[in-house]
Amino acid sequence: MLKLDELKYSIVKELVAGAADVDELAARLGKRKEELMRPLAELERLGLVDRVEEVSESWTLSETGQRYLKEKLPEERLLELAEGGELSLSAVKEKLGDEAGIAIGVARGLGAKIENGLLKVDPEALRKEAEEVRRCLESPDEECARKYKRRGFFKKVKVKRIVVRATPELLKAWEEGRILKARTITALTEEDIIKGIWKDAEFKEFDLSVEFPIRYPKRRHPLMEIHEYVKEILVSMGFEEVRGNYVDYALWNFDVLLVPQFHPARSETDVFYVSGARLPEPEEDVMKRAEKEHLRMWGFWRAEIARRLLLRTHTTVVTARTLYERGGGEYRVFSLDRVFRSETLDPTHSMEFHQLEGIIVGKEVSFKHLLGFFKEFAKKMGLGEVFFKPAYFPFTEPSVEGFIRHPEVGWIEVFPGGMFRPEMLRVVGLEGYNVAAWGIGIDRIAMMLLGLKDIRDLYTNDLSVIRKIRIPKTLRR
Amino acid sequence: MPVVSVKLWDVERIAKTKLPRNLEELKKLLAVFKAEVEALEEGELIYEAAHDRADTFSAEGLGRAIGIYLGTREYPKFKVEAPKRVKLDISKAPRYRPYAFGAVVRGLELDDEAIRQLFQLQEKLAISYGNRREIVSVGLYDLDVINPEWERGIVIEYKELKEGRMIPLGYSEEMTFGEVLKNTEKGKEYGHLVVEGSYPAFVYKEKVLSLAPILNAETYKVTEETKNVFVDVTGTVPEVMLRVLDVMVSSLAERGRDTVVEKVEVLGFGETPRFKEKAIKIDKYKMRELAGVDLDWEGELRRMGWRIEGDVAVAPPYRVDVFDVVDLVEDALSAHGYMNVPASALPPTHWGSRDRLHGLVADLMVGMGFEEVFNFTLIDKELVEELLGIEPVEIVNPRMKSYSAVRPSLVPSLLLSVRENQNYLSKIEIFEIGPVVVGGTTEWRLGVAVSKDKATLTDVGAVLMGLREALGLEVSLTKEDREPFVPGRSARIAVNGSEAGVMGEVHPKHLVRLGIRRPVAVLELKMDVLR
Repeated sequence: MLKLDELKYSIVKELVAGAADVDELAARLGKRKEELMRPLAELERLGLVDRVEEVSESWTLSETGQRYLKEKLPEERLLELAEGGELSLSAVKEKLGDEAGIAIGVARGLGAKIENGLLKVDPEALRKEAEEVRRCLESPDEECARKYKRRGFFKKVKVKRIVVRATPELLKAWEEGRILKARTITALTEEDIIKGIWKDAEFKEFDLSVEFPIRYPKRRHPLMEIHEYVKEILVSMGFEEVRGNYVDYALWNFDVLLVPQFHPARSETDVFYVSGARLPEPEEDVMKRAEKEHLRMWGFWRAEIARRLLLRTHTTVVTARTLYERGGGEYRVFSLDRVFRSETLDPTHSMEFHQLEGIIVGKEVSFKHLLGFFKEFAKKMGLGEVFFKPAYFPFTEPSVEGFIRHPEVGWIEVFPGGMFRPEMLRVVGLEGYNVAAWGIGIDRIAMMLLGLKDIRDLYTNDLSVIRKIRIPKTLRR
Repeated sequence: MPVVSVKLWDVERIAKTKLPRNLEELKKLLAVFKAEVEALEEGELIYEAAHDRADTFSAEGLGRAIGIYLGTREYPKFKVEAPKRVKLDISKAPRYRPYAFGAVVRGLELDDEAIRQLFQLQEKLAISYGNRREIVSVGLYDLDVINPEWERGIVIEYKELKEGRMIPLGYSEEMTFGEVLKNTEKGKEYGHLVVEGSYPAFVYKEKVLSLAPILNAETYKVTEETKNVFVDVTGTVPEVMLRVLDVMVSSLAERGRDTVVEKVEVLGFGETPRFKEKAIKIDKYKMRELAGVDLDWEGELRRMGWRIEGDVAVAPPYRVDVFDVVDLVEDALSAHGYMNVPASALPPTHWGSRDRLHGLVADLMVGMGFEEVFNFTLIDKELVEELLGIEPVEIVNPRMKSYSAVRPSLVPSLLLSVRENQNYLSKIEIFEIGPVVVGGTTEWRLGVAVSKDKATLTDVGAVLMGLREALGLEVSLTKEDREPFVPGRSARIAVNGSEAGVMGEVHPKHLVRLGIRRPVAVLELKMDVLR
C-alpha cells in the first residue's frame, strides 16, 4: 500500500494515462509548474516516475515576426491599395514608404508585372499569400517557419522540455490497486491523535492569503485603562486616592472656594441643582467661616444660597473636604472622578466628565513645587514640555495655567492650579500650612492619547467603538 | 471671561509706548496680566481678559498696565475732589434694586474710539461683575446736558416710578417705560430685571435720565463733545457696585490730560466713588515661603503698578482683586515670568495609595469574558421610575430629558448598553463598575449583563459564583420579586451576611418598551461587599 497526498495522487493518475510534458501536466491539474516540481521529485525518489529532459530545436518568432503579429504585413498593405489590380509605383512608394520594396518583391514573386510605371498585381494570389503568412505568424509549424525564415520572421531556438512518465513499477502498483489517496487534515482531531491517524495523514497547507477572522479581546474600557495608568503614576508620586459624594451643598462646591454667591458660574445655566437628595446638615463651623470671608471679600453672603444642593462641578469639593477632615500635616491626595456641568452633549462638551485633581499639603510646600509637580507628571505621562502662564481662579493665588503641545492643535490648556488662598484655608479650618492644588484636564489628555476627536467616543458604551480604540503607546512602556 | 477688543494705537497712546506688532510677543506681554490674546487683525487686538483684572476689560486699563510694566508710565495719580455739583438721593429706590451710587469725572477729551472703549468697559463689567446687570449695571451721562447752568449741588434722584417717558438711547421717538421693555433690544434682553409699574429710574427735575438697568435717555448721551460725565451704578450688592464704580471712574480718568474725579454725595450713604488705594504689608518671609523663590519683590511689584512705601505695597483704586499678601506674590511672579521660576518637584513624603478593588474586579470580569462599558450617571428620570419603580435624585434644571436624574442603580444603564450593541452583536456580555447615587450618597457598584437568545438567571448566577470562588465570599440568595425582573426569576443577594445586590431576568415588557430584542439577565453588586 502506498498512500499519496492529494496532489501526488492526482499527478500519478494523470501519468498512468500517458506521459506528459510538465507544462502540459501543470495546465491539466490547474497548478503552476513550480508547484509540481517538489512532488515530482518525491515521486521520482519513490521510483514511481521517470523524468526525461529533451532538448529540441524549434522555430520561434523573431523580433520582426513579433512586430508583424501586431502590425500589417507589407503585402497586406499593398493589397488594400490594389483592389483594382493596378496602381502606380509612385503611389506604392508614397503610401508604403520603406516597405514598398518588400511589398513589390512579394507581388512580383506572385507574378505581378511592372509596365509604364504601373504595377499590375493578381489580388487573389496576393490575398492568399498574405493569409498564409499571417496564419504562420499566428501558429507557426515547421514547414511554414522554414518557408518564411528568409523573410526574417523566424529564428531557431533550443527548447528544453521535461517529460515525465509513469515507471513500470507505478503502472503495476496502480493496476493492482496499491496506490491510495492519503487523508488530508485541515483540523486535527482528538481521534486523529489517539488512533494515530495523523501518521498517514497529510496536513493541508494553510492558505495565509485568506484574511483571518478577528477575535476582539475582552478588555477594560479604554478610558479606564488610562485612568489606571494615571493613578499608578500619582501613587508613585506619593498621592493617596480619595473619593467623595456627587451631590453636595453649594457651600462646598462654591462658598468654600470663595466663589461669590452672585457669580454667574453658580447660575442655573451652568450648574445642575438637585432635588430628592438627603445629606447631613452642612457643617456649622464651615458655614460661619464662609460667611465671614465672603462678607469681607464680596460684601454679600446668604445661608440659603450656600445650602442649595447640587451636582458637584469640580472635584475640588473632595480635596477641600479632605483638608477639613484631615487638617494639617504633610500629605498628598488626589481624586479622579466625575463632575457635572450644565452642558448639552456634543463632540466637545459633556454634561458629565472626569476631573483629576489633587493637593500637596505641607509647611514647606510652595508654588515652585506645584510647577515641579506638573512637569514631572507630564514627563511620566509622556506629554512633552509644559508651558506656564499666570491665570485666575477665585480660590488660588498665585494661580497658574499649564499648557502642553498637542500634535495637531498646538498648545492646549491642561494643567490649572495654584496655591490655595489663605481665606479658603481659613474656611476649612487650616492655618500654618501651604497647599498646592492642581487639576488636570484628564479627558483632553485621554482623548489625545487615544486619538479621539469626539468626547462621545470617550464616554461610550458602544462595543463596536470600544473594540476599535487602540491602547496608546504611552501605556505600553 | 470677557472677550475684549481694543485698537493697538489707542492702547499705545495710553501706554505711552509702541507695542509689538508680532502676535507671539503680544501674547507674551498680555499674559503678564493673565489676558489671553485671541487675534490681531489690522491693528485690532482681541483678547480674553482675566475675570479678576476688571481694569483690563478696556484699552484704558490695559494700556495703563502695559505702560507701567514697560516703564513708560508712572504709578497712576488721580486728582480727586470732594462732592460739589451732584448729590444723589436714593431714598425712594425700589426695594428690589435698592442701591445707586455715582461719580463725576471732569475734563474728558473723547473721540470715537474712547467712547467705544468706555461702552465696552461698561458692558463687560455689567456682564462679568454684575451677573448680566442683575447685581450691578453702569450708566454714563453728559453732565453738561443734565445741568447746563453749572448749578452747584443739584440732586439727582434714583427712584421707583410707576411709569415714565423718554427717548431711549439710539432711538428717535419717545416711549413709555413699558414700550422701552417691549420695543427695544436692551428692553427685551434685560426687561426681566425690573418690575412693571415699579421702574427704577434716574430723574432730575422731573426729567427721566435713564431707566435702570436697561437704557439711558438719548438726550444725555456721551458724545465726542462731552467734557464732563456723571456715572451711575445701580444694583443689589453695594460692595461689588463700589468696586465696579472705581474701575469705571479710573478708566474714564485716563481719557484726558487733566481729568478730575469729583465725588458724589449719596444722601444717607456717604461719598462715592470710594476710590481708595489698598495697602498690603510686604512680608518677604511669607512671600518667599509661598513662591519657593526669592525675587526683587519691590521691583517686580512696581512693574505691576504698585507703589512701595517702606514695607507696604500700595495698589491703585482700580485693583479690585487684591486682598492679601498672596496677591503680591502672584503679581510679582507674573512680572518675573512663570517660566523663569525654577520648578522643582517635592519628593514624596509618604507612600501613595489607591483603590485597588475596581481594577481587581474588572480583571476578574474580563477573565470571565466580559467587556467593560462606560455609562453616564445622569439618566432619564422616567426610565428609572418605570424600570425600577423608585424616584431618583432629580435635576431641577435639566438640559436634556435623557439626562434628567442621577441613576440609583446600574441596571438601567446596562439595559441602554445592551440596546446600543444588539445590532452589532447577537451575544452581549458586558460589565460596568460605576457610581450610583442613593438618597444623596454616592456608592460604587458592579453591574453585569448577559443578553443573548435564551439568556437566563444562570448566565449571571455563574458570574456571582465565579466571584465567590475567586474572592472567598459567603453568598446567600433569597427569592424576591421586584422590578424590573420577571416574577419568580430574580433574587436578592447577601454577601458575608450583608445586603449586597440583586440579580434577575429582565421582564419582557421592559425589553419591548426599550426596543431590546433578546433576553437580558443582570447582576448588580455593591463594590464594598467584595472587599
